[in-house]
Amino acid sequence: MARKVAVVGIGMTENKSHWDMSIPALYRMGASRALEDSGLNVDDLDAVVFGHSPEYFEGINHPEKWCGEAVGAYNKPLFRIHTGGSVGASAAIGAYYMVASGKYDVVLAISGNKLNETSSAQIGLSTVYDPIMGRQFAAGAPSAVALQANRYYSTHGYSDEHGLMVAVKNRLNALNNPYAQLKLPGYTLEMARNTPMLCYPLRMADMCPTSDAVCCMIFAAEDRVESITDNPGWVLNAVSTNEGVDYVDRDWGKPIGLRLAADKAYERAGIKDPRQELDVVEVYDAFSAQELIWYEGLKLCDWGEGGSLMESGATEMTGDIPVNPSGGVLSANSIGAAAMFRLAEAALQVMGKADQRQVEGARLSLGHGWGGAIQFHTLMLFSKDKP
Amino acid sequence: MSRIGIAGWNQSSFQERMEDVNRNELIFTTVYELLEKTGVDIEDIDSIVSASCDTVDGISISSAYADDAMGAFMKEESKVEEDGAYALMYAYHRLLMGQWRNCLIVAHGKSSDAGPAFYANMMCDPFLLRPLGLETISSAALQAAAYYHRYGVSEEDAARVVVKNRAAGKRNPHTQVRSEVSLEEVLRSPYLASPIKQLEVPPVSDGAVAVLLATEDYARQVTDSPVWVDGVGFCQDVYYPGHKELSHSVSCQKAARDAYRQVGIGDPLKELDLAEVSEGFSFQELLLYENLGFCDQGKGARLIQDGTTDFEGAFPVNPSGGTLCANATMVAGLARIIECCRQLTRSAGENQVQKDLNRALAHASSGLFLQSNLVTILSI
Repeated sequence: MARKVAVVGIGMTENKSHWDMSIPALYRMGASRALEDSGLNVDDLDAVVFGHSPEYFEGINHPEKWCGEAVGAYNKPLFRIHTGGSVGASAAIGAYYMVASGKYDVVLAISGNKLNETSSAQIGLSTVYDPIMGRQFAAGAPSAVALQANRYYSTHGYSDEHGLMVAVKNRLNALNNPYAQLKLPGYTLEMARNTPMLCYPLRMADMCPTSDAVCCMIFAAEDRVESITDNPGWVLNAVSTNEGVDYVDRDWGKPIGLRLAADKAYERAGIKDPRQELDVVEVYDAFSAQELIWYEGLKLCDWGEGGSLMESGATEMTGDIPVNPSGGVLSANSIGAAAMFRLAEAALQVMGKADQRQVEGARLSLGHGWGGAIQFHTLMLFSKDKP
Repeated sequence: MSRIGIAGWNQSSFQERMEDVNRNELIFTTVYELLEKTGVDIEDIDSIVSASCDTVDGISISSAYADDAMGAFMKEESKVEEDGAYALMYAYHRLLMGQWRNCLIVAHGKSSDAGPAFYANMMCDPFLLRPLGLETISSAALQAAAYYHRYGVSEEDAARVVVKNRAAGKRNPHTQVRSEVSLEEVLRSPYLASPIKQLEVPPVSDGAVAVLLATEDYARQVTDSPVWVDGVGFCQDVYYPGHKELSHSVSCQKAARDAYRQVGIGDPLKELDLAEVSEGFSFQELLLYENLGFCDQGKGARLIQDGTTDFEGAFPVNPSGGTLCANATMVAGLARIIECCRQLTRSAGENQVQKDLNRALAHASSGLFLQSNLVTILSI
């Protein structure tokens, strides 16, 4: 059976326009910070799993070839995973599996994007659509998610107010996160309501920003963990699922792929009541309404109760299950790194290293990534206690 | 540690341009035929790892639309943006962890859509390499020149690789280019980028392949003749051609050594029975002989001069015809693994090697100047 694996180092770059750095330089910064955090050096790495989302954003094919040396993969095993927005989580999951396989002891996972290299990320995202049956809409991401939000709100009698509540919560949380991009002190529901409508029912406040960032996590096998760190983040399980892309036959407000991932992850980790057992959750809230939908997929509440859960205040920093203490994707979105940030933030919580955004006493956490043509879901569960 | 084995495989045809089949039809058919062959229902597939490339497909997050066609709906799934052999490597490690019984691996590439030159030039960084116009053939020419110069290898030695592989390809019903060429024809073909000549360049190929990888128990349920994955090594070296010695490949040496270490191989030429390598261009096969440890550095040409690596030789290399006969981007390396499986299970038909076969090596490569290499050791 699989070896036990823990996160022993995390490196994050700030989410902003890194106009003065090349893509490899930004990756190097992320990798260097993770190595520094773990006290390891490049020679300690057995392999690297490289993540990067669509190459059209930066106009470079196979960026892992260009960036390999910058992330410590000089004459080392390296391979690239690419699953769109979820890629950061998929790369971390890849590194976890490589260590769990018993073949590699210390594996570095790294993922990022420099979205400011493109004139508009939405032009890149429009090339996600099928060239014959969809690209003419040039829909980008907001118009697709607007359909998802409409479906969700109308099915359950919620309104865009519920999405805006998420937006305000996460923007205020972001004030505690030195790596977040959008910092809006004193942000209120009133201020969010007054932002322009971009794509009904999504307002500017419901959108994520455009960021350059890299996130890096180092995974180590059980027998190496103790010598590296006193506060590892043990990985309980990881899952990546696929919901299928057929737009017409799917209920966009009911993420069955995410539910499948959650069921598998909880079962394998022995979690029976996620709402009670989890201490903190980081979800991929690229758009505000999605956080509510993901609550339901992750079984933090029943189907249809995501809006009510938000209203109850349970997912605020002061609630019993804080969601996105980091400020989430709504406060920083580089796409390539965004899903790994969710996992890394969840890991930081059980490692007790989340500083200003630390949830007191967090022992069990969950990180979530989302991507593709809205159908990939990736999860990783972390524990303070060795499994 | 339990063994992981290949329980089934399927290859599409390889064609210069598949105009009548779109990408998803190609994937669906390839996977469907594999399931038919193995008798495994899609419901029984536990996980999927695919290999494809946005730049080849002309679609961002290209797996998003391809996944339905390969049966990934509501399954645990991931994608590597490397040759399919890397997808098999990843799936192998996933299975070793003990969480699943099997993994379906799918690699697809309609190389003709983007074209290999665009694919390669886009791999170049936008500041230093791309403006030079570097692409597949010109980068191979630089490497060939360095290799010939350093070791005194002649263009004739490299041309022999083409003659050998094209003769093998003629026997292989699964490959694309099925005609022989003479040494004279290769040497007289026009230079595209000196010293690379037209007949030393791999074809442009559209195609897809699928492999069913499984735990030992599951593999034995599916087939009487599973092919075991004994070890996998992979490595990436330096990016900029000016930063490394082009006449050899450090990453290839390291990948091979790691794979040999896992299996306990000391003398690959004696302990392996055949090899399928992603030679790309003629001379690269000779260069790979050396860096895979089949011979000393600079001695690769001898193995082809004395017939060792011929179809009927003591150590056949590329009895399928290699990538000089079919070279679908993202697919070619996994196709090498499949060709080894065909040989080891003695199901290669017309291109079956006649000697005893127990253990084979499959090589895949990714990037310009053989920057990344992967070596898989397979046995029956």
